Amino acid sequence: MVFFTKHLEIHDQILEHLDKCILCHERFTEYVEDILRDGSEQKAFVYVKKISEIETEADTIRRRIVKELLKGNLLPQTRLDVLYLIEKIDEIANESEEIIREVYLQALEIEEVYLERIIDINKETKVQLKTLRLTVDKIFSDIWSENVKLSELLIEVDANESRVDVIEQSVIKDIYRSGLSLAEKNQLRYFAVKFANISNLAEDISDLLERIMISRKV
Amino acid sequence: MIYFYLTSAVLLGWALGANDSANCFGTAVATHVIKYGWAVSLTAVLVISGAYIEGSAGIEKIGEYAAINGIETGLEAFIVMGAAAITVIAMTFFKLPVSTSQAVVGAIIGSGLTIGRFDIKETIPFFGAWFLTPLGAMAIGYVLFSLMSKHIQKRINNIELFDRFIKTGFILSGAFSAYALGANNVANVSAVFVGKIDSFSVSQAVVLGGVSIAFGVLTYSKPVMMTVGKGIVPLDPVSGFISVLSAALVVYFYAQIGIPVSTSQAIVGAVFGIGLVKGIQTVNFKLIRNIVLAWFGTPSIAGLISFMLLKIAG
Repeated sequence: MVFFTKHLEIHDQILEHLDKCILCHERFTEYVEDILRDGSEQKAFVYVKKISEIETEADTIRRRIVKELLKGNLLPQTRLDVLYLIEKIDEIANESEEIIREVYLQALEIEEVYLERIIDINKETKVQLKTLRLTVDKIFSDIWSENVKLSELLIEVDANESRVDVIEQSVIKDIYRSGLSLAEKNQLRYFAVKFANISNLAEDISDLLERIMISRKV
Repeated sequence: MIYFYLTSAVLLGWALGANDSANCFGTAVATHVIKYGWAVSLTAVLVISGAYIEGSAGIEKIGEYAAINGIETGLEAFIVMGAAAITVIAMTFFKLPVSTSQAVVGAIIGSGLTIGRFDIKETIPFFGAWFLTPLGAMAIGYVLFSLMSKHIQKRINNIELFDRFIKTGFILSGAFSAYALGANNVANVSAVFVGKIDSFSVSQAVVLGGVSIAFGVLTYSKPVMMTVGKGIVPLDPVSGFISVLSAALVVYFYAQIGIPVSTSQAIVGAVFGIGLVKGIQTVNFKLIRNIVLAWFGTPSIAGLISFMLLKIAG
């Protein structure tokens, strides 16, 4: 009887995948700061490779989850929700990898005044991802007894994203009011948007979690 | 000749199996909880088991009722069952709401009127059961769904575990429903022939009835299952399995009394009960109208066909 099978797989595997993607983002923030302050191309190349490795590991876990879903132990709607969820979570690692690669390829240089705020975006996103991890954990293991807490966590994830938005807009505003060339302005704008996008992805995931919670209420 | 007479029973059993198996696993198949092949195999086995183990009460009751209404020969039984089968198949073809139990009773009433031995007193319990089936299922559906939403769900906090609970619920309630269908509805198929054909006993009637229904389940239930599974219960998985369980409980209860009832009407009643917990706006009143139409339409048409066929047969 399927109901009485003790071992629960999906919850653990989703968290493993999320942890890997969060690790990918954490390393990415450390490495990006180092590259932008140090400016070493060799170091940047090594960092891109390291991030790429973590992203590949996250991908492997994602594929394993898909394989698990194919066993059909979950209801079709849950399978679909989990599939969307891991795809979205995976985008955090993908985006981190893409940004650091672009930083390396474009040999990005950022003035200290902008760099500080880019780092702030990363810090805020890091906090947001921690909250998101807690939310995912509770949604899959404690969905009803922690109902109120979950709603608060989801609001917190959204609030993080709003704070990132504010920083992003202030950076872009200052970039276009600076004496930089238009090409430099556009390049910096591109990166500011990209850095902030990871927070947007986290917000999308929180929306998805909210949907999962609501659709399961009997 | 004996075997020829029984063809109308087999035909009705086949139609019943093709139509009503959707009520057991229709929602589970439509929502991909269980594969169609597994669903029909399980239904076929459990219908035969239900018929064999607990179908005799209904066989005896309908057999007696037919005798009281003047059906005494194999030919009369053949005509009555033929009328019921034609009604069920024709109404299904024209997509009209139909109940096999009501068709059989209607056909018996028609013959009773033709022969001049219609007994209204013996008929009242059947009418009562028709009304009480959806009402009972509605009450059970209301209580079970309230329990589920207010108490049980809170205790199953893990999404994966909850899914397993729902899947297990679907399979168990579907299995119970198939068993109840066999136990309750087998009487519709072959009871009229008991005692009217030489050596056709109650135990032979349960086997013939069960196998005929299972034959319908295995050969022609897919289109009905896919339509009914999505049409009757366009609900969330929890409502799906609770509606099946509620209906099965009522059908099983009537199997103990020996009165065949409509599983489709029981399901609609259960869905209505669940709708009352969720809020009246979720209730599909068209389905309630269909039940009322079937209450009056099915026995009237079956009775009329039976009446005409008996007149023609002289």
